[in-house]
Amino acid sequence: MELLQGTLDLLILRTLIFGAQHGQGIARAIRETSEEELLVEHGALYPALQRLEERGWISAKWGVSSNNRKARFYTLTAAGRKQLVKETNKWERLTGAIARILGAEGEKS
Amino acid sequence: MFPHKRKSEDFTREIESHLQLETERLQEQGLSERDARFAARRSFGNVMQAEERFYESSRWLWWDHLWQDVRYGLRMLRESPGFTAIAVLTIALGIGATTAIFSIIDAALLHPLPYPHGEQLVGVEDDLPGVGAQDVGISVPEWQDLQRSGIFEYVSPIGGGDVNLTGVSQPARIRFLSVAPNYFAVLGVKPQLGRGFNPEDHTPGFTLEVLISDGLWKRAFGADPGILGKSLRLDNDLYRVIGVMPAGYHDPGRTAQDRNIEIWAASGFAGAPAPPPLRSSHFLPETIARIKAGLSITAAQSRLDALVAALQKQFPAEYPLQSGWRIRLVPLKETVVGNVRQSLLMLLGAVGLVLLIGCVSVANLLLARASAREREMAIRQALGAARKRLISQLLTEGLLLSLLGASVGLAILCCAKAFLLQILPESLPLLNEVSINWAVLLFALAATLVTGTIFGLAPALQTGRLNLIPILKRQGRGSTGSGEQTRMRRALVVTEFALSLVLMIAAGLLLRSFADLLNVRPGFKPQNVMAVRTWLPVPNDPTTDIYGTAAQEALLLHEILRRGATLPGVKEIAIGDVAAIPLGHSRKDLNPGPLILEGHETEGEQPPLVDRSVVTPEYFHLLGMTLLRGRAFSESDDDNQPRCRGNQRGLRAEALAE
Repeated sequence: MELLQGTLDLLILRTLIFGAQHGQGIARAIRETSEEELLVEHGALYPALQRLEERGWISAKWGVSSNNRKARFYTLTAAGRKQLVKETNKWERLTGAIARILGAEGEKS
Repeated sequence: MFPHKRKSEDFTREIESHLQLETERLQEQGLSERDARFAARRSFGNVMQAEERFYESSRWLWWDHLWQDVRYGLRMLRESPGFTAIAVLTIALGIGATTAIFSIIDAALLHPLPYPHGEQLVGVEDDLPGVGAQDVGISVPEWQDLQRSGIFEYVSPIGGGDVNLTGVSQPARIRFLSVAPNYFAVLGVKPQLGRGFNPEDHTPGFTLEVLISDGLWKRAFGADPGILGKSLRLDNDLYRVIGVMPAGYHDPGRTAQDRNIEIWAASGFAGAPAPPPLRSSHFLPETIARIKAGLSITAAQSRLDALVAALQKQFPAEYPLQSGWRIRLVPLKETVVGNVRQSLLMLLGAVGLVLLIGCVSVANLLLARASAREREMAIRQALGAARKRLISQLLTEGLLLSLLGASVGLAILCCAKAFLLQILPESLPLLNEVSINWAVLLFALAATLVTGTIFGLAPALQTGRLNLIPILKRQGRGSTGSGEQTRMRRALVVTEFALSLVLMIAAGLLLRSFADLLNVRPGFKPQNVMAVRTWLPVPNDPTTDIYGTAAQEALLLHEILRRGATLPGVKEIAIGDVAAIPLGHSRKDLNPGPLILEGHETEGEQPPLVDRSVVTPEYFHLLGMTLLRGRAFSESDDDNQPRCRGNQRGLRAEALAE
């Protein structure tokens, strides 16, 4: 399933709430938590990460992974947290509206 | 908003680390290492594309591209030094010449008045359109009306002429200006030494104080610091020096002579030797004024028109209605540059044409080179280079060439500046220094950009239309280009030739006129003849004039003849008035008089006018003028027996016309 650009940002921010993570880890987390529904092209993740980093919502640092590999770890910033709340609200409003429309149609039929 | 720009190596490392982590994870799930690696890459997607996108996400991409193009362009120029040298020299010539002319235009036309608030300075002219007269001069009461009108800060009439300067180390004939005491207040200039005239001074005659120029101070007084208070004589009248004007100061005159005044004397124009100040005697030839601050010239002119109307009613006898008396304000800038503007602009046009020819040449050269690089361009396009990028590269190369040429041109100009300034004609109204200032540099930059764009675009336009396959298939390295290119090159050659021809014809015509001028036969022998001009002093008080009567003057002239004949190296000496120097006088020195031949009836009312001059008998022999009929003068012809002799051609023509 293809993702809109804005939703990818939302997913990344949400994933990072649980702690710092590197790019591959984020991709894995999204796949596993969505129960294999959302398969992000890993290459597409990086421009999103770059954008989020430029906007100051996440910060990055090189570190060492659990099996001793060097990787670049991303952390959510305070501004990022605020942005996550905003984006989550927007998403919920959007999906709520769509659900209502779909629900209304369902009633008719 | 960017903390640090991330290096692309950093990004590459991150991608590698990602792929490695993913490979290991898949291996843990049981895939072989090889399968795991492939799977990791597949789920990543296009690595190259990710890297490219990262690289391009930085905002300064155009700057990177620019630097790449510049480096590449410089390398190409270095590889063909012959081409580069020719192109750079051509552009240097074009841009150097154009900039040189522009710097003159900048000094002469754009900011001609180096006085504070020069736009408030005007010339005041009296017109009598009813009788067809313009700029007749103002009278002293009119001057005073203008000063009292409240339209102007200061109004100053200007008179002047040439005087004999004596009482200094070397007597000289210099140009002086007689002005109102507020003249320098009008212009807003202060002397570098001493003081100026007092603007509130209302002496009717000459104040016996003068200001001298920096040039005169250095030449005649050796830049003596004790100059103030020293006296000198102008036409035998004694004056005291009260100040020295700054170096580089020029008067806003129409001619070069009027701009290089050396002595200023202040006068109220109402005392001797001026005529009595009647309203109807318009003897003040020129007047300048400074309009009050805040008033525009048109506003001042309308207020002046109102004043003129009021004065006409008040003095109907002096201003008869049919003469239509008017006072006109002319911006001072106009009087100074008016007649030079057209020639300077034409010169700029001519030099611009030279630049254009240079551009066309270089464009041609670049086109030839572009066709040799056709293959390179085709390959790059085949590999996916955007056409815009190729065009921008060619444009950059063109601009680079043009910048190099312009720098060389400007460098030459700076070095040769002193020499070039010497060959400028004196009549240019250069009140300011001709210098290479910001305006001139900006002009040079603009010219550079335009020329660079022109010949950068020529090959670029072609690149866009390349048909890739046949070019790539061609085996040879270079070629002379497709038919379209050859046509464009031919068109350029034709244009260049046409433009050069125009310039050459114009230059040829000018040269021919000049040659004709040199070959005119003067009708006398000018070899070894020296013309010495001398002026007798005209003191302010006519009663003190020691050469006042004809008898006194005759004594002097005889003495001059006697002593002159004894000078070593002098074979013959003769005296005449100014009009006697053939071709050496101006229109106003002639003294035309009516010619009345006895026994001939004059046609119409007016006898024909002939130019006359007065000479001593040796004049004709000295100049080698041929005698057609009759005899020359001799010593015995004097006041008691007036004789007259005419220029043969003129008189014969008159006689034949009868």
